[in-house]
Amino acid sequence: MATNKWLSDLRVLKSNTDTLREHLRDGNVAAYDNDTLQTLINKVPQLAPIESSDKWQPDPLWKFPDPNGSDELKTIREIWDEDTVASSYTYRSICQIIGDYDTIDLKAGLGTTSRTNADTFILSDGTVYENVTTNSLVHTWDKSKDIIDSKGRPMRYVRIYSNSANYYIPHFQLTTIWCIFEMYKGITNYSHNDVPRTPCECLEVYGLNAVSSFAFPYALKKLVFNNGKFSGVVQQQLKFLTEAELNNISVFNISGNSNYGNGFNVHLKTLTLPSNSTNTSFSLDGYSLAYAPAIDILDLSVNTSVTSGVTVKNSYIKKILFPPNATSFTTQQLYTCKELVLPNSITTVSINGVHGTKKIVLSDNIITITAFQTVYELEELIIPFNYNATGTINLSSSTKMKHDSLVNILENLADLTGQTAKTITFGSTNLAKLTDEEKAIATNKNWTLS
Amino acid sequence: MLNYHKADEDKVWKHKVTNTILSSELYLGKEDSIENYEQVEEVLDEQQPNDTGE
Repeated sequence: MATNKWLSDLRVLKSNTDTLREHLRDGNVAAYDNDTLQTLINKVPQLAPIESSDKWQPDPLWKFPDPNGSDELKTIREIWDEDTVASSYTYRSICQIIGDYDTIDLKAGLGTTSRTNADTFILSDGTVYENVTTNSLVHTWDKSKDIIDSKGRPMRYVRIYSNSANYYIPHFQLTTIWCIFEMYKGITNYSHNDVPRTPCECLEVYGLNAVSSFAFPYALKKLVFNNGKFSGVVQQQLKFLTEAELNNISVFNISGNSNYGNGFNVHLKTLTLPSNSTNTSFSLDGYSLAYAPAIDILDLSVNTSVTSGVTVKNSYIKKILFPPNATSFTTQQLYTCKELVLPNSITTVSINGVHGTKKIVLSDNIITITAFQTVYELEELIIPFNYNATGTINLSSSTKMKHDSLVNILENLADLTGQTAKTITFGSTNLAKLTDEEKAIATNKNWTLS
Repeated sequence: MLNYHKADEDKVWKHKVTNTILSSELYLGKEDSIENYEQVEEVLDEQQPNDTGE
């Protein structure tokens, strides 16, 4: 019994040691097979602190009495989702604003001096103005109905409804902190210069067809765009953006160096591009993200419109989820992406100057290797069975390649007997890991191993 | 039997037709020929980042 107990304890100890070793390695801490549990524990402080979620969250006290009469308090998002008035109107918006002022000109908030369309306003203090056709409508707030958030700020909201397209966003420029708009369905070439400025943290825009400029969102942390030609972005002012969902955009301008140093979206962690109606390629040049933590995850996994190239350069991106129809992938100066798994749609790759990537899986349908070199941390490369792509894989800089992976590469090379020989470069360090018999796996299939 | 060729010091092999730069060692495919290769000076060909921001 005692022996069994010891064996059981040893198994638990080994399991814990293995788990901790893997955890450390996942955290880019050197953890060796001969490390004891105690030495591994000693290395735990080397792990980077776990970052909290970077998703934007509204202040927990941004909740208003339910306009539908329940006892629950609601965020403006919940009020928007449960809106019973919306069905009577084509366009609507809701703006949460800071209660800094006694009065508000609701029409002026629509951003124009000539607003004679019949617009309806529902306010958080319980006031309702229906079918207002005057150019100006000044409302005096009932401050007793303001809510107070966790920072002690009074908060209110304005709900706007209209049956005529609003060419101006209802911005209440200096006080809006969270706004959800759907006021301009079908409008193209919309100028978005007057979006809410400081202190707006979250802007959600639906139904928009185009944005020709996008200025002054100084404090924006979350941006949702559903539809739009997203160009002319005033990038340096998006300093605090942490989360962006850009749906159905036809132009996406996140690259370019014009704002070098200012750091477009220096805090952006998650960029989601679910669909892209006209662009067939995607390019992300990290210089616009330079000297910043930059994006952790580039999620193009459900973007079916990208049917040609995906390019990611100069980036500290940690994970790329490829669009399923992309046919080529180009990367250069990729620093912290641990793994690249290319979908089978990709037939051409160019990989050059990659740091931190330990595993690459080429697609089963790879045809052309435009470049594959200087992948410094690579340990495992998986090529498809019967590999016969043009261009040469060069692993000379990949001195950490595992023996089994090297052999697997040799075994998957196509038999070129009777054809022109091709080359594959392992480099001296990797060649030294192989026996002559293993090298002969390649040469017997008429591959020249270098 | 491996058909092995080692380049001279500080040189690497280059394929004459594809211009592919290889390493300093060459294990020829069974139907390949050393005549397809020549020795060249070793170069570092990683494209470096543009740190000027331009």
